[in-house]
Amino acid sequence: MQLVHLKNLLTFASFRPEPADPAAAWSTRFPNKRTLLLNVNRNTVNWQVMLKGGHLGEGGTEEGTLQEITEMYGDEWKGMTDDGWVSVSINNRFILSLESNLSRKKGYEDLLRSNPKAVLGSKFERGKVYAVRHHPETNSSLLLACEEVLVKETQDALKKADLNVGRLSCGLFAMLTDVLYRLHETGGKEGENEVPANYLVIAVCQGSVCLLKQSEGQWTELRSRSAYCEPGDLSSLRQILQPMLTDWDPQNPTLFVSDDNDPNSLEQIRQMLPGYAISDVSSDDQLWSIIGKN
Amino acid sequence: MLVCHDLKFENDPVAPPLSNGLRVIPVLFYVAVAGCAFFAAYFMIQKNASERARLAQERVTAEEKKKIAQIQMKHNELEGDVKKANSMIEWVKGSAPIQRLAMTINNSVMKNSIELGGDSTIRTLKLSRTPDSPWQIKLGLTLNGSDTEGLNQTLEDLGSGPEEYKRFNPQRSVDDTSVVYTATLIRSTERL
Repeated sequence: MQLVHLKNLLTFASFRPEPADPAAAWSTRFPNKRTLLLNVNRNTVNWQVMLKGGHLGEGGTEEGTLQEITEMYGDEWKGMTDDGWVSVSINNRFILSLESNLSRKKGYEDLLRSNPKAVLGSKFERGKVYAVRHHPETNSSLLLACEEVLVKETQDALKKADLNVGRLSCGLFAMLTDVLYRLHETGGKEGENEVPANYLVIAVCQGSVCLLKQSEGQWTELRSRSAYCEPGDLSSLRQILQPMLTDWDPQNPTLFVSDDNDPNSLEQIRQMLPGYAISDVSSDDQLWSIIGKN
Repeated sequence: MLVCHDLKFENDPVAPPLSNGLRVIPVLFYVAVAGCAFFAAYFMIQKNASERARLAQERVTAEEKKKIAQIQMKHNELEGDVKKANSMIEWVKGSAPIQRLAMTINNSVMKNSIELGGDSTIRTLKLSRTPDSPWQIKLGLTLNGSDTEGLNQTLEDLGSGPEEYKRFNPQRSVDDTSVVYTATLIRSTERL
């Protein structure tokens, strides 16, 4: 037994997940440490410090590629954290799709990372990394495919700045799965509201959008675009939204989730969908809360 | 709680956290450390208290020994006094035969001083006997002043008293301040 193991045992650190453990929530991996939250867009990078106790600290935005910005802010970011751990959200060069009959065998999540072909079968494409979210009641699944090169570039750039990547996720996919989790896992419990059979989820994260429609208890349609809208302007959303609304009852719940908590965004959606029952289910600092806690 | 997905490539193997049941190990360790600290402090306090009690007891013992020594000294003094008293008693018992003689001499000198107006007083009176000849009393009398009349009257009182002492080898010397008389007295009632 090494001394560090003994130290971890006596400080109870051995009973907490390791910082690099992807199976544990971020808040349990770093309960009393400052970490950095990064959101990488196509041409901008946003960051926010997660303080001890789960409170958000100072943040910033800079235009440029991650490599360029890391060279400028690497040391500053390092100083903002206790051990240099970063949770990264990639918000471009990804594809969200709706799949069915994906393997749900025990350990499929680990298998998806090590041997995605075994889970995805013919849907597997070389040069991509995957994440999946299954419908809890049907055989439908949401599949995230992100370019492997982008993931490697991101990890290498941050490693070069002496930062440790604790998690690398897709912010839009994380927001979407968070809404679905709240809707299906906690909203459908006994004594609470039943999960609606028909709903439409509109998720917007730093210009990337995703629309998911459920009809008669099944996910039937999904449309996603990365880096699709300009910040603060969701007018282009209409082009992919309107085709999904044919034969759609406006009284079915429409759930809107956005990362910027901008009232103007919700207003634009309301103008786009007059008479629809739209609910804003965004929480404060939606993106940072998800990648900094879950 | 929903755990966010992770797309990163793993570099190092990650060990799962230990089960919560094993928390008893560090808890027991800290309990043992706290117990050791508590008992160490407790024993240290007890040791200091016993050390203070030992020093106090040593002081008490020293004082008591001192008192015992003082009492022993007083006891010895008392024993000495008892011995002296016993010897005095023995002497008084043994000197009964010469006590009447000493009283006769004293009374005679005092009577002469009062009745005859003399100024003789006894400076020293020495009466001694030896075990070999206990009937012989050696008299050594020194009177203040140079009045020999008082001495003569005293000697007559000795001869005419109930003991009727005879004087042998009398010697007297007179100077301005004293009259010294020595003789060996034998009672007439003694039959050699």
